[in-house]
Amino acid sequence: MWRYILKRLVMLIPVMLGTILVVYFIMDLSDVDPARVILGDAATEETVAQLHEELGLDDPFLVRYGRYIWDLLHGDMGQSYTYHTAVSDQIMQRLPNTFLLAGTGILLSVIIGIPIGVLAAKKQYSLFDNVSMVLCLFGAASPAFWIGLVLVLVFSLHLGIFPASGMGRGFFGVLRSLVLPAITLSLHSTAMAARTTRSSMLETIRQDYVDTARAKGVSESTITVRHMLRNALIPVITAVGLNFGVLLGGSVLTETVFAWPGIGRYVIEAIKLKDIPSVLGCVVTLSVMFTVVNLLVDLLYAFVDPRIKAQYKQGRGRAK
Amino acid sequence: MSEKKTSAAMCEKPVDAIVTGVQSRGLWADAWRRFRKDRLATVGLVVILFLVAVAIATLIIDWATHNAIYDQYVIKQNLSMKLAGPSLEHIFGCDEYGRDILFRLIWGTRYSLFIGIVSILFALICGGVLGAVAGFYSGWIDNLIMRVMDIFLSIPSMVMAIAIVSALGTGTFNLLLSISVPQIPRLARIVRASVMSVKDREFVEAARAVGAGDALIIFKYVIPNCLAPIIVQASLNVGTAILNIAGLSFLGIGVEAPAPEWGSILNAARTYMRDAWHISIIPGLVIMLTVLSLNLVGDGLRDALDPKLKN
Repeated sequence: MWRYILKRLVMLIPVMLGTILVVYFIMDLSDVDPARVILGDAATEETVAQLHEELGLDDPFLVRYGRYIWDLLHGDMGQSYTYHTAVSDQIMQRLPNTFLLAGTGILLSVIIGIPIGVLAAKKQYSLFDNVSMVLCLFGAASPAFWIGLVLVLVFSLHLGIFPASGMGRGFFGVLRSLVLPAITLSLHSTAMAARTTRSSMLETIRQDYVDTARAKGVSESTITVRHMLRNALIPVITAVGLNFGVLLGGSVLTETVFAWPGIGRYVIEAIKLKDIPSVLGCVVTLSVMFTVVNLLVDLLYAFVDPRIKAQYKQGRGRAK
Repeated sequence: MSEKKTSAAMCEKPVDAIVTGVQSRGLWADAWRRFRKDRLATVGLVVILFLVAVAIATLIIDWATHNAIYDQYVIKQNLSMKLAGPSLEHIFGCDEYGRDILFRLIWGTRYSLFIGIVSILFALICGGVLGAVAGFYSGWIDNLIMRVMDIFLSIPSMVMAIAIVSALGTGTFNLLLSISVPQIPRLARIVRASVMSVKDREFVEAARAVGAGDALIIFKYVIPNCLAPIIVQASLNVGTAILNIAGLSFLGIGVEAPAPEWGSILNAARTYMRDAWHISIIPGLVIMLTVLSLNLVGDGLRDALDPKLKN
């Protein structure tokens, strides 16, 4: 198992290099000249050319990419054009906030979505099943930022329960300001988790081993959790893991709606100010986060499904 | 004796039915029959067809009137009606420049629908070719293509869309590209999987035995036989594309103002939420209904094309 984890970690390196290459290539298509942004409109051709020379902007693409990777390994993402500070500092300042929001979003979708799916499957075609599945259909089809706007309209402007934007101070302040953005962000993945859990549960619910367990006199709740849910969990984990990418993309929108001081809002500000190093840094950070989550999801399979774990062990045996 | 008779009668009828049935209905006719029985999917299809008709109608009106109606009702500002609430004259109210929201929603249909559909078609062509080549040839080509696709997949689609728009700038074509490119690996995977499931079947072998070349085999025998899962995935992806278009426009980096894209109407709503709730509610409902209809059609197609999955 440990050998497998190590192997996956080593395999992560080319994927990350490739991801950063793609992102770097896309951002390189920009016609914004960093030297002109740094020097301002009044700069002469000569000083612009000089700065090009200094920053190595005229070097071949792969040389610049290599330099970016080298700097990145040293924690350097370049200088922000607008803040005139290190991009990595700006990102590290905001990263915990995005982690908090995205983590709470995923947590909500798991602790709300999975139980809904389980109940809907156990009471298939009941009122609860129908109502929750219709709600999931609507939830998956609505733009998350719009749900955010509606929540602000109802809970902030009319009822005044939660703040409309920003991040509060202190534990309870943060908690209060986290409620609406986290619900907004988790909406899609909650709907997806509930639908996947339901259909996956429906497959395990009629298996013979469930009847066997019942005949042995195992309590219904134990059957539901140990015999049905545990076997139904693999597709759910896949769905939640994939949805984490959607969630990270959604965090850009949600953070903008709620003025949440995270990476998502930073990247939008940076785009509007044509602050390319900042945009690049944010996109790289978000992609790396997603890659790591994908790896964690793959490793989680082994813990949920002993068959997969056995495969790893087998693979190790063969390698020896 | 009577037993024999009944068994003969039983035999006769089904054989007859089977023969005529096979002759009159192919896979697609059969799927269509099943699709029509699915009431929700049919409603979804009707809504989508209606929206397509609306989008085409507005294009024809613009062409016939040389944009007169577009300029007069969709673009022209009328500050006396600024943020006016719903009334008989303007049933959905007016936006921050006093423009009728109903008109803007109707004229905005084209952006979501056409950019959504065209971007997925584009992704389908690119992803389809890559996926088909990878699945058909396997070996190192497959490995190379799919590893590159994996790298693209490890960038969240909305994040990649934002990167593309920020590098290339706003505008309809760049928006289309930014929505389309992240979907290519997703569709390539589906195409590859279904090509792999089909390529070793007997009819492909038969075609090869007759001397058909690879291109002919891929396009004439393999792809038509794996269309079903591809169509389902593509129809569901159009919904995602429409949500992403609305999202980018909401962020102010999608379709450029003053074009009445649905998401950009919501962008203005955020600023004026305190004074005018109607701007933030109605465009969102329209987006939701559109995507909901597309998802229903996609689910209905899946059930109709692959009845095995339904159970």
